[in-house]
Amino acid sequence: MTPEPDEPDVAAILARLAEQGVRLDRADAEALRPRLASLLRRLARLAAELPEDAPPQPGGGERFPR
Amino acid sequence: MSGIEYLGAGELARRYRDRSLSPVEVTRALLDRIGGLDPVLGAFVHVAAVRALDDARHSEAAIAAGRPRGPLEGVPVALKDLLDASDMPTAAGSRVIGRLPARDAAVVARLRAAGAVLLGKVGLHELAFGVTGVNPHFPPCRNPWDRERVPGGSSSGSAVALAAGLAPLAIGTDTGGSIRIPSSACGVVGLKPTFGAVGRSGLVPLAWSLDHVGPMARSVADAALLFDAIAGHDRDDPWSAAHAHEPAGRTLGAGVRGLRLGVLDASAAGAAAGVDDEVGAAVEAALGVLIGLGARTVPVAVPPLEPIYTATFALIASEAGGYHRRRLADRPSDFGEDVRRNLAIGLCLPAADVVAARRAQGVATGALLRSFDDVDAVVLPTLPRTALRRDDPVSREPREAWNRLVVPFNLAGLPALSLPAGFDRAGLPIGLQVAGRPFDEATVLRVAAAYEGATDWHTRRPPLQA
Repeated sequence: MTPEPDEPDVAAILARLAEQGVRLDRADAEALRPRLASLLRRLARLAAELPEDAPPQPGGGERFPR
Repeated sequence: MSGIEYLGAGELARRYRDRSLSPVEVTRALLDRIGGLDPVLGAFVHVAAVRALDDARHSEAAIAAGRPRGPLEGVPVALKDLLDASDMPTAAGSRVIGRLPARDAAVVARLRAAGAVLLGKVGLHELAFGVTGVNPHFPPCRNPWDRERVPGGSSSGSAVALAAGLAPLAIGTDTGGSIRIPSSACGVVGLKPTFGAVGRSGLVPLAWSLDHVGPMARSVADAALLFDAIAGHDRDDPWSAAHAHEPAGRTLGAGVRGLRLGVLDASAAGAAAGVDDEVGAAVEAALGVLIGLGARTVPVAVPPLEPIYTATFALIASEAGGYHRRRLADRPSDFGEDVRRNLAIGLCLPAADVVAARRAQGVATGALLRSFDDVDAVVLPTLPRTALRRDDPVSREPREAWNRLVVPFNLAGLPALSLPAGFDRAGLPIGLQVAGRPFDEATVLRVAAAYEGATDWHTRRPPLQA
């Protein structure tokens, strides 16, 4: 059973953005909250289903070396 | 109509060689057509008429002297306004980017070296972060097949310019389907190349790890011609492939006899769910055509689409949020509402979740590569349904989303192309998607060319009056 992440609330969203210098209206935070919550839930499920030793996709250089 | 507007790049090159047309004549005709139609269609955001005519005269002289610079000598091209061209402003479909670049993007330098005439910049979904092409900062960009429908995005102007006969070639970019979605919705051809095949320096990024630059055209042969002109190493793009580009257009006419084409197997029921009946029937019919040409179909398993969509969105939102963070802090009201909120979502994601998305990218890439073990290419719909009405909301749920069948090839960096494969009852184009192995654009183009050669969908034109 994948633990569900805490639902972000509007105050937490605004605070998280403010930490990064971004100040949005409350209306923006309220509008994006359900989508952020849905994405966090899906990412939690995705993380739980990954093989434990699966590494990140390599970044630089050629992704498909010849 | 002068008859010039729907000539392809290959045909223009032939007509220039036999002197039955000149680059100046063609450029002037297209500029006239842009002047007549674009106030309604809204494809262009900047028309470089003076420079285009100067370049066309230069091409004309080069051809007359028997010294064309390259395969695109005198061929007009429309450039997505996410790429820098030294004599044109770059706005990236936004109010927050406004630069007059001193240098050409790598792809623009290659276009000029090949002799292309840049007609101007075409519009896009704001900052390329969206799939409809509806942009709050610019006049509406309309689908030429039905002006009440969206053109698809983010390379909306590129697709509209092609479908409306405003340009024979266009450059698009594709981070989560942005070449293939508008190509499908507007009935043109668009190729998202392999990650690293086309250089990206001079591109306003949406998400560095998923951005691709690619060719758009009205035929597979023209898309191949343009791809071969722009592909190759870019020393200013750290993720550019280092090896020499091998021309992909050489095997266009090889046919599909003996090729193994992957089709989604029963385990991919989730992928098939939600595909409109008419789109599904058109893709089945297309497979029938390819089988008739000698291809064999092989069921392939594809990884589940929902985690792929989730990982892709998380990576795009977090990278785009990082890139635009300072602008979002300084000028939040200069972003459209939808893009502003998407960027904010990216900034709210915990680092561990972004790492999980990157790990999922590795897993999905491995799984998709394995699906090519026993096939030469995979064939599937581009979009689950045809062009949306302007007031239709685009679902944000992965199961229903408009871009769920295209994002797997962004996440894995594999080449994928959309080409016309029919029309629905409303007269809207249906797109067929062909995907291939890394750096095997040649096979993708070969399959597409075989299908195109056996059908006439790509010759249909939207009802327009210049």
